[in-house]
Amino acid sequence: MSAMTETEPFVHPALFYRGEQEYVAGTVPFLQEGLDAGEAVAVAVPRANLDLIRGELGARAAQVKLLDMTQVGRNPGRIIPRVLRAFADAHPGGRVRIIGEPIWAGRSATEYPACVQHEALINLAFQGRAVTILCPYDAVRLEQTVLDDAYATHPTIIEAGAHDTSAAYAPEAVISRYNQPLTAPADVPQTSYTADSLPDVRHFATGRAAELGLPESRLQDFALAVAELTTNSVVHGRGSGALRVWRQDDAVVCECVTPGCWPTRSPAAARRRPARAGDGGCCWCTWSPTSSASTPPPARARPSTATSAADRRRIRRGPPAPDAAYVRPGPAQPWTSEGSIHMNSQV
Amino acid sequence: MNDPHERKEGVGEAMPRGERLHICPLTDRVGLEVAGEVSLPTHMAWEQALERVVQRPHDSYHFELSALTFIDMAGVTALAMTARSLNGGQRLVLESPPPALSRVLEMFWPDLSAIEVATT
Repeated sequence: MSAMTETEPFVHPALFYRGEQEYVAGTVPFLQEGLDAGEAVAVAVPRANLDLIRGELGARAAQVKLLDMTQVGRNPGRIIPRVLRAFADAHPGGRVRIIGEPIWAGRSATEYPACVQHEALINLAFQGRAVTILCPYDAVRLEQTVLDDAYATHPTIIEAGAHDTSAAYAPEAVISRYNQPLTAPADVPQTSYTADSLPDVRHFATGRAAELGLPESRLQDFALAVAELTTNSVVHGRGSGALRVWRQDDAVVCECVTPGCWPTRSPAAARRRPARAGDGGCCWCTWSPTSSASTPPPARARPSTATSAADRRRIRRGPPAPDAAYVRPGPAQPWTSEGSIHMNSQV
Repeated sequence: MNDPHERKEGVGEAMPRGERLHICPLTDRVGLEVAGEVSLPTHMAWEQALERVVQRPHDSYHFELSALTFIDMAGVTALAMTARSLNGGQRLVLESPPPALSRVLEMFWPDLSAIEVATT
């Protein structure tokens, strides 16, 4: 263990569990310990596990903030600012203890990179804070690669009751490894824009999205997202950019790229709550897919083009919470992806 | 409402392409009729119009927005900041705003009591 982790007040272990018994054994005493110590305690895990914890806590469940992670954390980009930091910042007095399970079997392959980045960014976002965040991983149902990634994103792994320091811990490398550009079909044309043609390119993109099947109810959200991305190119980039719109499975994808490199920024900056709306900075900005025509677009970090029927129902049932665009810095390359928008085209 | 400073506000020829923003005073109540779109090329005209709202305080200031085709985040932000700078009893009344404007206000400024949305 390095000198830094010995003095680092932030504690971020992963819990590899096999079955309900191990889940309860790994989480409930952890929570009770926090309550006994007078700490503020929260749990954000998928519904079935939440019910399990609630049942085991009995009357003490009332002292714990219980959240369904499949709802509050459906967009991985919102978990740090809206769930973890929101709770920790609301309890500044003493140590804060949270169980956060952001990765569950059923997260799509396109969502997953943002989930891993979320886990890595927690380490940067909570550095120096008196906070403990325990992240359960279903070692039976999750792929081995997911568990391997957990070793890179958590300084400590708890498995079958044993605590081990992770030799593979490397959060910054993980963030970079999963920061990959989008792949569009080769024949998708690119449309350039400058300040003068911002309205034109927005009309063009919105028209293409409609042709590709994005429902009318989503087009205004789409237009707003396109405006924010393209305006960013012009205002914060080099005055121009290029846009592509295509269909990918059941989603419409819109990508904006800007020539040149953005200055390096802390990747954790993307997970801080902006001081005020509109302070986006340079970004990837992804608006989510959802099949629902009646709810606001839940923002997600990555395209969820393979959203399952169950997932769609969850999205529809989801609270009409405010959905900011998910923002993260683009990769440092000769061009920078200003952002992309992914919206499910099915009603 | 024949304030000479509040005549027709537009970017006109200054904007080579895309949509224009037209702002003119309402004739039967204190406020502005806004048509076209608020986006980067028209931000300045929009913000100048909002500045005058603060300079000429009334209890309620109306924005007739049925012909507003688009407003971006910066445009809504300017509106919200204007509302925040008002004195206690003053308010901005948005008439027939585009749904996206209402959505953005609810998302980012849910507690902004100085803005009212009239949906008739």
